[in-house]
Amino acid sequence: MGYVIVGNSAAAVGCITGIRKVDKETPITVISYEDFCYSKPMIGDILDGAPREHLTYRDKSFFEKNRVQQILGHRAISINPESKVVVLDSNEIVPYSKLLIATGARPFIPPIQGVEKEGVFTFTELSEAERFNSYLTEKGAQEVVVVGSGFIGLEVAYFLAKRGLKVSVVELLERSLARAVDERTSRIVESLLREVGVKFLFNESVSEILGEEKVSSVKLKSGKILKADGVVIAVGVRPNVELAQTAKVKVNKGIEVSTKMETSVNDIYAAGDCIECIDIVDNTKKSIPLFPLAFEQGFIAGLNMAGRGVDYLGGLVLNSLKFLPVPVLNAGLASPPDSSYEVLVNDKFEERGFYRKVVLKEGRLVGFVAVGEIDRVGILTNLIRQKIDVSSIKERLVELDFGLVDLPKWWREEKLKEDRTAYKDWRAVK
Amino acid sequence: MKVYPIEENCISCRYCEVACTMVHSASKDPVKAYKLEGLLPRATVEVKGAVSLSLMCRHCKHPFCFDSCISGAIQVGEDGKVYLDEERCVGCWNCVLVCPFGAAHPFISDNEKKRHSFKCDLCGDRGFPACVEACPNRALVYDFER
Amino acid sequence: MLFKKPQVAFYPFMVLRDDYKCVRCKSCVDQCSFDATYYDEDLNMIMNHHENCVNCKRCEAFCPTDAIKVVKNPSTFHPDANWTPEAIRDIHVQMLTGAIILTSTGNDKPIRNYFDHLLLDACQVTNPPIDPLREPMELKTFIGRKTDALEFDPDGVSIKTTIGKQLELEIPVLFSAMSYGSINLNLQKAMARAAKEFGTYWNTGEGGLHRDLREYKECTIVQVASGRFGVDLEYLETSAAIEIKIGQGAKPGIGGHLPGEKVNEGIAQTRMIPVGSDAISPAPHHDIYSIEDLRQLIYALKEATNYEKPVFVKIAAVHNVAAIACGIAHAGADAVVIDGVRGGTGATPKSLRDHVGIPIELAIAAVDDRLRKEGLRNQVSLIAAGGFRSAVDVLKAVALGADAVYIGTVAKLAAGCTQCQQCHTGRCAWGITTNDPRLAKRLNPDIVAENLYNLLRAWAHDIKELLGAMGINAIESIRGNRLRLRSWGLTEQENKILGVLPAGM
Repeated sequence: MGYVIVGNSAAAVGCITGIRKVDKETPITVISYEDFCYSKPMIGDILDGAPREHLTYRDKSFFEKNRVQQILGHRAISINPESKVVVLDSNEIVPYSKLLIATGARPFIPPIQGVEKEGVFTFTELSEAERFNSYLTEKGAQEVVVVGSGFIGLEVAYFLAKRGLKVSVVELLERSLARAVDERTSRIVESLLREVGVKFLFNESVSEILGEEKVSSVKLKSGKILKADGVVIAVGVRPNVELAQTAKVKVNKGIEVSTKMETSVNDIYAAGDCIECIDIVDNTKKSIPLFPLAFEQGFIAGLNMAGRGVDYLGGLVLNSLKFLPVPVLNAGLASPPDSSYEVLVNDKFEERGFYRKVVLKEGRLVGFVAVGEIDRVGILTNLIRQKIDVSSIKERLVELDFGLVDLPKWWREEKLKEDRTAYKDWRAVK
Repeated sequence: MKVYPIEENCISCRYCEVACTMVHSASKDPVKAYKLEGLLPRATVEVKGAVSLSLMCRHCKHPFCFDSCISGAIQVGEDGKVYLDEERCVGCWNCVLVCPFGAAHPFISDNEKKRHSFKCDLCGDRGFPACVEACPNRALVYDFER
Repeated sequence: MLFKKPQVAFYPFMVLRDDYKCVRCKSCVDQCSFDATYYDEDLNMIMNHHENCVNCKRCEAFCPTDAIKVVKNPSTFHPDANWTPEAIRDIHVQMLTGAIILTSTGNDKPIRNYFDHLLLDACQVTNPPIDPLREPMELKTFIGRKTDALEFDPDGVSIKTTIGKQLELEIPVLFSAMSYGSINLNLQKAMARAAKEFGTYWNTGEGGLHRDLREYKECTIVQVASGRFGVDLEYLETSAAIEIKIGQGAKPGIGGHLPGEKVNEGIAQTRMIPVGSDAISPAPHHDIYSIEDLRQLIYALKEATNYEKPVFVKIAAVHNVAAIACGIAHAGADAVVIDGVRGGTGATPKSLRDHVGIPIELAIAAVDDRLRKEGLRNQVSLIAAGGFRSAVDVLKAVALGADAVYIGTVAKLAAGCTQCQQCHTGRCAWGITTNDPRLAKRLNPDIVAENLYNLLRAWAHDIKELLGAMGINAIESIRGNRLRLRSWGLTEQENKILGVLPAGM
């Protein structure tokens, strides 16, 4: 009887790391239907010609060193919380003393007519990405339609356009990355993508996917027809809560968890894309399926599962657009919903290649976007996390040389002189 | 062990920055390190009026960069030090985004072929941090955790 | 130059930069405190306002790739022995500002340095030298009033005579008076620490005693100058000795001057004056208009401190310095301090610095002679100040008759000073003569205290070697011993005043 983790991605690895910080002995079992531990955010590199090994997140030696037994290629079907076992698709029974559900999220597939045709792919799993890549090569594909202009959709569009394919991005809203960044940033990103040949169609959606067994074109809401040798659906993900529900775990926007990452059922924890967590920016519960949060949540769950009680600090939106020559980073709220927020901008993109915007509420930073020059923006991210009052230095926040000297001396004394860098030391300040 | 800045003594002479760049270069020459190799320092000297200090990776007890690293390039050693493998790094900038001290820096080479983060590595190969040795006013101290 | 008077173009110094070696680290931009260096973002180059450069050489010292040299502007006026570039520029400054020219440090004019014309003896065959590494050498010096005669007990061994309070020095060198305000508090901390460690004393100058320095009471000499800044009973008590400052060598006849820009909170509090106000000491002490008045003040101070502390009187070396010194001895002082024309200062009118006062070498000889003639030499110790540069200068001064020597400029040099003569601006880039927080941190008291201790240690060894070479094992034996000196290149009159024979004789 030991720890069991369903999942083998960021949250799972975080959990193993957390458990082993406290408990070096008790065995851990990882159950995953995939065949190796890879980094999901790096899937796009497959389109750029990277071999599968390049995506390794933790290799065999990590699992060996940490005494983790991996059951790969098998799916967990149900959980029995009374007898404390996990049942696999092979009928194998895996008992647990503490269980972590890290089942992640699956891509949302809108009910478009024809979506089940061959040649329509999603892009959140390595096997799917590899199949898409082969499909394009075999078919000699020349034109691809990407549905959705989020981080995944744009990355796919970029790499395919660099390979010489004609790519059209179909977006429901009036700009790309609408939920993550502000308009100026969207336009900058779009212009950079247009430079490599990507076409955008805004305020549009796909009403029908056309073709025989294989897709050949798509019909848009406006009536326009686009030729398509392949279609990628990238319009968001939904948390995989089905396994949790077999244990009657409470689910809302995702699996509900306490600050100790425990679900409504004793000894069952959850972390990663499958849960809902507090967004510290507006104190509401949301599903925030992002890599850094998944690891941290898994880590905290692991500590708690091993007996060290630690409270999760909460999540916040963290985005990085890495594939463009111009990096784009965002944390928190990039576009304020109403005028009760204050916005400061430093726009020098044309002259100096950078743009920076911060959003404040009641003297505290709640979000920012940095384009071009991104060095040290983590300092801003922490201001959001710790909810430090920045009203006296708000003009400085958008400057490239904003730094720790702008913060009050007590902060530097605490963090530098006294070296308070443990997890709990990053709580919001009173 | 890590490097602690003493802001009361820092005179913003930037020797720490230049020494850092120089010892991490192939040529070990400060002019070539900046001009031919295009390197940048891992320590940042911040100045505001009379206050200045040199900041580098704090090798945190809870390193947020380690949590956010998508490629596994950042690892925490048995000694508690945080290591960043520049070869394995894919330049996703997550660490840059989450480091509360701004100690992880992005590097994009001129031809954009190389993209990775870099940060203070406590001059592992050298044995003693170059910045501490170079500081002329005792504003950097190499010490056990306080 | 555009928008400036044409004369501004005749600036004396330029900053030369090897642009290839410049890695744009911006160390020089941060270090320059005179607005002579800035970074241009558009050009990605470091640029200079040469007309503001004062040749402090801070940027040159700190450039990590040695890409900077601060040089004299090679463009000069037509050579003229009378209308020197300095003379011409002084006219320009006065015509543009209407103000008296202020400057600092010591006299930079080529007034004869007599130490460079004095040579020491050495022993050889008949009177062998002493090896300082194998035999004890006594540098210990006592400052204070000595007795006229010794009275013994009936047993013929025990001494009945008591002696007044003495300062005990391990080396005949003390740190000269430099006020808090004219210099960085950190330099005072460094001098106090080094003095305590080595076994000598430091002097507060006329700026009062900052509370952080109270722990160094045992090795502190407090100064009572004409402005009486910071003088109260507690101040007098927190000392080993008290010095009444009548004048100083850098600016005889006028009082101290601290420009308002340099008066911050700490200085205001220590001196007991408002922040930002000029601290100008009056030329005379307004309660000393005769030698009797001086005697009254000396005894008032002794009375107030229970006769526990020696009282010195410091005067500038001027024409009748010998006569004044005798008067001071009669007035009851325990030591006379004379400060020569090459003494330094934090702020003074340039004309007074360069043209008023006499060289300390002549003054020492004159005062020592006169005190002996009047039978007063044992009643006062003689401390000399004003531009001593080395251990051998110290030894020559002792040979001419001084008991000990004050060093001021040397302490500044140990802190990095390059003698750029901008102390009065309060913008010292080395953090020595300023208390501006951004600049003051550049002087690390721990580092400078170590430097000063090392310096005293080096000088002590140097003096011992020189003494040993002369066959002397105690500094007392060279004191006033003019026979061990010879001169070269001096006139008969100068030799007579110094009391030395020319080399060869």
